[in-house]
Amino acid sequence: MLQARIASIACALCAMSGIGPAVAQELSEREFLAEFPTVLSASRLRQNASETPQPVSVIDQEMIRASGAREFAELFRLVPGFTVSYVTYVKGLQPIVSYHGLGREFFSRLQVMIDGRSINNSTLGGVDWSEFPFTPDDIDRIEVVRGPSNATHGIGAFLATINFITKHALQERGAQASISVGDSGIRDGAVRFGGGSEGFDYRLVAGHREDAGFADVTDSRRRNFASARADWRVGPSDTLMLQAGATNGENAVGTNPLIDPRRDAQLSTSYAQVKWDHSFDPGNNIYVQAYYYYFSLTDLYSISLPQLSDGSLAVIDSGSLARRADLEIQQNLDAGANLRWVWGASVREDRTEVPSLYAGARPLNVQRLFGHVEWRVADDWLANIGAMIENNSLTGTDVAPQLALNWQLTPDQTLRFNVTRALRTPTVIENQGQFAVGAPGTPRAGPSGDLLPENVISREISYVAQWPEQHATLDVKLFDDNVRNLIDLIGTRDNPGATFPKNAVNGDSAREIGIEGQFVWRPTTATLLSLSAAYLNIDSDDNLDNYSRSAPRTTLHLLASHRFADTWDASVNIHHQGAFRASGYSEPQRALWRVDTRVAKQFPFARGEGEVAASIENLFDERYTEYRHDDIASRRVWLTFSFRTPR
Amino acid sequence: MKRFTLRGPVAAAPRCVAFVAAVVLCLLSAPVSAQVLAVLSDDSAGYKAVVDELRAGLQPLRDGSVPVESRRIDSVVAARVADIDAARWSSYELVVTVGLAAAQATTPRLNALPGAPPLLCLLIPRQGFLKLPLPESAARRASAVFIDQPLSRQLDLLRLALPERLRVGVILGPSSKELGDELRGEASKRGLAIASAPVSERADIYPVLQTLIPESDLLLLLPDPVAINADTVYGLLLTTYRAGVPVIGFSEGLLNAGALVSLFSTAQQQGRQGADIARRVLAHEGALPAAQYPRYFSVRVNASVARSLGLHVPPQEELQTALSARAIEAVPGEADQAAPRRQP
Repeated sequence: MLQARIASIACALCAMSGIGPAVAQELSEREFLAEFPTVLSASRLRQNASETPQPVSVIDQEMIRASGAREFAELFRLVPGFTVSYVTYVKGLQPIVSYHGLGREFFSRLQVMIDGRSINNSTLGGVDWSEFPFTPDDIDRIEVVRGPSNATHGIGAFLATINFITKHALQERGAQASISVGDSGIRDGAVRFGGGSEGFDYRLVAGHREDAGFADVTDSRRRNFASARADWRVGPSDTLMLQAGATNGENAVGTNPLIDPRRDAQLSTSYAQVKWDHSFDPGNNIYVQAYYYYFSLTDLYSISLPQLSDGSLAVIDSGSLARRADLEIQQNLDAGANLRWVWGASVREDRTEVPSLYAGARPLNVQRLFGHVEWRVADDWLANIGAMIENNSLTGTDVAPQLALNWQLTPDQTLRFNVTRALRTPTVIENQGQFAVGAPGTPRAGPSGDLLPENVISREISYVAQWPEQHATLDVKLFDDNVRNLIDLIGTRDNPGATFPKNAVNGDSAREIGIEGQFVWRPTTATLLSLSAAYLNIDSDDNLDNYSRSAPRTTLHLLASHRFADTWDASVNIHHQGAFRASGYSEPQRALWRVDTRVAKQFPFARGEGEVAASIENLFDERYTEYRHDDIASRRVWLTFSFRTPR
Repeated sequence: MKRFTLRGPVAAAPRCVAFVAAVVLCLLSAPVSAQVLAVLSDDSAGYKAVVDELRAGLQPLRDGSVPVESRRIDSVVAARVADIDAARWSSYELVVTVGLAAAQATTPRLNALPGAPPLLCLLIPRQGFLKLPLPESAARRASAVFIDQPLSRQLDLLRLALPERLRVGVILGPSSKELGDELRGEASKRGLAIASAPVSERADIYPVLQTLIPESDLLLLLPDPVAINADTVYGLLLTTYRAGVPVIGFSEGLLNAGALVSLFSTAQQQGRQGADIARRVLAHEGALPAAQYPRYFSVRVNASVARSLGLHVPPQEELQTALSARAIEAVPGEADQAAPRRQP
């Protein structure tokens, strides 16, 4: 009786506030007549593989798990044309991911984004692959656009674009924890909590990653990280996504006791992002996004130099600082059944400080305007026409257009023709770096400041086939890409006689011709097969660097995974790549075969769900070298225990 | 309806022309007493649309081809049912309720009246109709056109639209859980497997989806105010879409929000079927038929979602034609509740 009264009072209160259980619990016609705001609006709908202007490889949660990858960069071995490698260099151990070569220890001409937020480091243009403030479990999917796509993916989308899409805060509820322990000092742990109510959902992640890097090399890494994501339905047609996160830790560096002593370099990053999305109707929505990214490397040390006869120590500052602020607006608009527009604009400011290379560099300001239209010319012809106009404070204004025609041969087969021009704006260091190599006090000189953006003209024909009833897809791409105005430093390793100071110039070009493809097949819901293969020929005069050998001529990757008895997961990755020598300071890397494997078992645990997984990277202990001859790969084994509360 | 709304303000207007016009209208309408009373759950557009369609459907009777005098429909909102006295109730030849609340307000009044007019419930869920307090005598004089689609039709649609997808995920809330057994029976006849998950409160839906999605090739939504509502639809459509699992809805609202296909009857279609029945009753041509599922319905496909998911769904017209050609099997239990009227 009392309970009933309390319930009725509660209901009355709820009725006054217009929320909660006061909404009728009895089925009435209102359920049938209710209008809902558009959830799957144009900006949330991804293009089907047969309608994209370029090949897009998708790495989904199942593939992420089956890959067994502990390192984010490792995931890109699955994607045809990609090469993953490691270097122990000024910032310590760094993964290097490149597509069609031309990459060096600092950067590889790729655009990498997390939820639409560019994380390329504005000093050198590379990606801080160790600075992700979450774990692979937080990723919903990764979309990899294989080819230049400034018109659709913006600034820096030069050879390829990677977009990490993290899980929506609704996708994981409850608490989770995992811990990994293994060879080479692997000690990882993470906790996660997801919750929410009344249209406000959030997820919090915090963790630690640690390993000892390569054996007998000073390159251990330790990171703490934390991040939060909230998805808030502000109103029937408005959503707000809020994200913030930070990483902090050390990389061990030091290759030579005299001039590069062993020490810990401190790295920290942080970011904040807000994205507001408004739907006018199912075919018309707009978003505004702002983000800020901060990166700092603190690496201050002293060395004794013979030139300093008084015995005092020279202080070297190898640190750097980068700050990026970016504001973007985009509208997706369906104009009739056969025409879909996307247009937008963004402004960005990159501020950097690299005391060893320059003092007080000017910030890089970039404005861009982009638009493209997807026009269904006929039932079986789809045209994607777009362009980006970029204006930046260093190289001025330039245009990157794109034209793609998709011809649907049958409902499940598409032939695509694509011509694209794309740009890569020089980084702040390329533009303003004052390279002084030698004793402190050596005069510095900067580049003449007349650098042009690099550009690529890409021509490709690709074929997409889908077998929906078999859950299989195939994409094959034939390409002929002309990369021009490649920027490099005069006087690199291959030209040791050059006099310092060095200078960055537009001094080389490369023509890349090849074929690559990927076949993904899910014969049953428990089985996944993914096969990627690529053949690439790079033709270059190699004036400034060994571009023509900067990627393996052939790569091959097979991923097979199967779920047994509903509680066991087993997967194997077989990877092959030909010999190559990356640009920059790389040493030759020989051809290799590598096998990785993972076995996991799920079981009920403490009324929740537990999982134990054993991962073995490089099962047969292939001793191949990475960028440097002392970075020698070896077998690594780790065990992961994870637990999630009852859902 | 229009005449009622005109009379007040126009009569009060000072201009003589308007006054004269109003008088003429009153004279025209005065001799004919209304023969149908429409009781609406409320006066929002959806309910009015049913009455408009009902009125339009009764219009041809004025042509003289059918020997029935012109029909007038009085409309009241359910809240005002108490104001209608017994004599006025008895003056109608047919009472049509639009919406569940209208039926619930009207039923006790008619039960208390000897010789009450027959009752036709429109825009009412089957479940709500079966729960109306209709005594045996009144039940014989009550019928309905359900707003829900028969499960057989919904499952036929799945087979036609997505023939490769055989594992049907269903969330069963407090209202829809009673359909579980019938659904499984109908599904097995069609070679479909049902993966169902119970939900007793709103907050359960996300954990339930996390386990249901991997077991489902598609998700069939069954109306339920706890499982499917403005709070849950957002997350439901987003998480299923991200998993590549298409959603089959039961309303136009769900289709616009992001369901791949929806099967539903519009307010107009309900009114049209109501008019078909009302015409026969008023013309004394036949008995009040048994409560029935919608004969008129719409199938709509969300082309953008289909393209994005890479699904080749047949055109909506083709689906609709194929479904319309199929007879609806009688559902057990209905005959007792809503037997046809035996006497004119």
